[in-house]
Amino acid sequence: MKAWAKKIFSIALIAAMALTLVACGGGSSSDGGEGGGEGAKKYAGTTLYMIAEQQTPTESLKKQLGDFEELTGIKVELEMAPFDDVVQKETLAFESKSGAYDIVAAPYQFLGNLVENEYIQPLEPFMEDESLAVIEDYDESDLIEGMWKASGEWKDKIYGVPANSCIMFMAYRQDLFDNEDEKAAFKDKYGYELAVPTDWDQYRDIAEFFTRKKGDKLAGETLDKDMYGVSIMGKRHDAATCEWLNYAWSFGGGVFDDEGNIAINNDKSVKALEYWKDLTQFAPPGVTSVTWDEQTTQIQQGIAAMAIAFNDCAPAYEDPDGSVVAGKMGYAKLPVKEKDAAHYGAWSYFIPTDSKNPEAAYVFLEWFNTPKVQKQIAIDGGFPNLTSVYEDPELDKIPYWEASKEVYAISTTRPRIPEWNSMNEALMLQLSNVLSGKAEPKEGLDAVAKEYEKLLDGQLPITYQ
Amino acid sequence: MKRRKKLTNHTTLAVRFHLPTFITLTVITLVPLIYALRLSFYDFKLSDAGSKDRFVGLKNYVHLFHDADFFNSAGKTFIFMFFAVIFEVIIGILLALALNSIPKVKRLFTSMTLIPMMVAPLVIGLMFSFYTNPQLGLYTWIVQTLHLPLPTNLTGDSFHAMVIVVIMDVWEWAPYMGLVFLAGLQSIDGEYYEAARVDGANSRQIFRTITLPLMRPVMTVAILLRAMETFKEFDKPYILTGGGPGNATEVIDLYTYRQAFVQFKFSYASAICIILFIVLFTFGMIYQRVTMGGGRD
Repeated sequence: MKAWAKKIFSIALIAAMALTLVACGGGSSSDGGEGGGEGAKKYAGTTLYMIAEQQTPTESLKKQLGDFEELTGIKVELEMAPFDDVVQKETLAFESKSGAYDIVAAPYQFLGNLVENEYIQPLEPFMEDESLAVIEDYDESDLIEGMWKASGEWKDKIYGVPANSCIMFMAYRQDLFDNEDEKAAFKDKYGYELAVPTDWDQYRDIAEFFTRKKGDKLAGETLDKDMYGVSIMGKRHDAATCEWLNYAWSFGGGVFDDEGNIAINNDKSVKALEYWKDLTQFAPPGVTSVTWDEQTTQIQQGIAAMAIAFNDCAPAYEDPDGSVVAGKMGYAKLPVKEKDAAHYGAWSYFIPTDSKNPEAAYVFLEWFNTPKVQKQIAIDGGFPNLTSVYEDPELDKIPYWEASKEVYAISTTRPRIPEWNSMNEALMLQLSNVLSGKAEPKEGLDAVAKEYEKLLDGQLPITYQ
Repeated sequence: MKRRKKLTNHTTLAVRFHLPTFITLTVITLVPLIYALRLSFYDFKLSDAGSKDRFVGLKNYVHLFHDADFFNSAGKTFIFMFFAVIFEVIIGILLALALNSIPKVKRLFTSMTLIPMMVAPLVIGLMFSFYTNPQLGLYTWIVQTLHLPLPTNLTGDSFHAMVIVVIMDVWEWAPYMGLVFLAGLQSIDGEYYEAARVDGANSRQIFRTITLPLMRPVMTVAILLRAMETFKEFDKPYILTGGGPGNATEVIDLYTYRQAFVQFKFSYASAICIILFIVLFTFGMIYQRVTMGGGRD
């Protein structure tokens, strides 16, 4: 009996030990190849190490890397990881000066941080170097200027090129909006026609109107599950910041006012948060655990009639394999209170200061911004950087294309100052607190403002962001 | 002469055998610890160029004791630790008693209880997040189909989020406690039970006066081990709630993680780690006293 007991005990111990062991991943190294030929083949034999977020456009890029290798003889080792991991891996690589990467993808709001720490290098020297203009189809002036500035320019110098750009717009159930019974019922109840909302009061009315219980009728059919007016991203996550800033900007508030002073807790910002909080009653329960992933699922399942969403989620709505609403969606710019607002979100590709092959990396960036590559990315569900690709009539048949084009023109970026990361942390926490009822909107935003004053001590007003 | 040589041989042999462990431990634990200690006296933030060499003395520690979020997360950690360990002990004992009284295929059942422990904590977090999803989760479906008076939006409010985080840990570790207790049960000499039965004790009396007291050392060790582990909880709440809603389930390791790898305040995070180290070290000392002879000497 005792031996038995000892055996079990030792198994348990070993199991516990095995579970505590942590495996460490190894780093990667870069081998620099020498110039191997003329023209596009100038850097043949070089291997570039690149890291980017695991996203549809990145997948599309990966598929095309063979073409790049064929054209230039440069091999690209592309590592893909989820959002948080990418930033962490890069930070550690920069800090340890390992030169592990030749091209890194980072969200543009990190730009100030990356530049001020000299982690990335300006692209001008490469852009001016005639000998690097080896990609024939590349035309600098084709890049959408506003997008390029937002994602790559810091204090008059260009550091990166846009990649995986996306924008927040309104996605809605076109089939429900077009339904005659629903239209009549809406007019009866609210006294005006059911149409795509252009202001936030209409948006709220429609959200309320489409919120139904299981067993109720919707567009003539009996619901087998609850239906909601909107889908809201309220997790303590970047998604919450992204969504709420739309309301804040549209209501006339925001992070900073025009003079660069803190505006996060002014009356307009507070009103925007009160509005958003009120809206959550028409969203599927569990708002505080929703990010863009869960929001996409809610729309795909057809349980939300409208959403303020990133346009790079739209391909998933239109995917007949995973979505019951494929072909039934409509897209438009956001409703307006004081002004138009559309949150621009993007990753950019940068060349780290410690890259071992910056020239070859620049050649890659040139190739990345050629129409062929960008068009393929658009076809696969991403969004291009080039005017010519946006104008390409072949892409007009994509359901979310027209709205995306319109919204890019009116988009706004969030601050890109080095402190933004910590500022965002404070904002995410309080947004989550407010949505879960732990704090009142005013109280939460006051706490954020207090934190901002601490973080930006001595730097206010912020004149460049 | 010969004997002496043998002795030195023993010593060199011992040194040789211990050296690899010693070196490994030094490299993977002592060096980072000292580096973290050094870092905690600086003001190293990645968002602030040139902050790496800014010596600030005890500023990080002073700040720590004025940081409401730190105390919030410390509080959450203790709440989590307290309830998780208590339920693990209770369920563990019940499980051990049940396993002990299985007449046949005991081995099979014992192995089966190991399964939750073998699942990576991250996977458990994912499992529970699917399970409790307010729209698609199996749990939600059960509650709605049977019209149970239970909440479905578990991660949406502070109380239930903590409950589900505790349940995840209990699900994972109660079987382990069961195994440890089973080992304890089986090491109790059967003669005690026989003697008690001859004296006419009923099973409840036997449990209270024989089983529990004789199990005490095993239980103390198991509780201490689990307490240390729960103090370091990270993966499961990270996946399921991300510390939310708000900071309702932000245990101390999550808070440290956010400071270090989201806000990139490495020095401040190091200071927290040093405090954590001191707390865990104290636990470790108690643990050692308990296991190495009850601390009577």
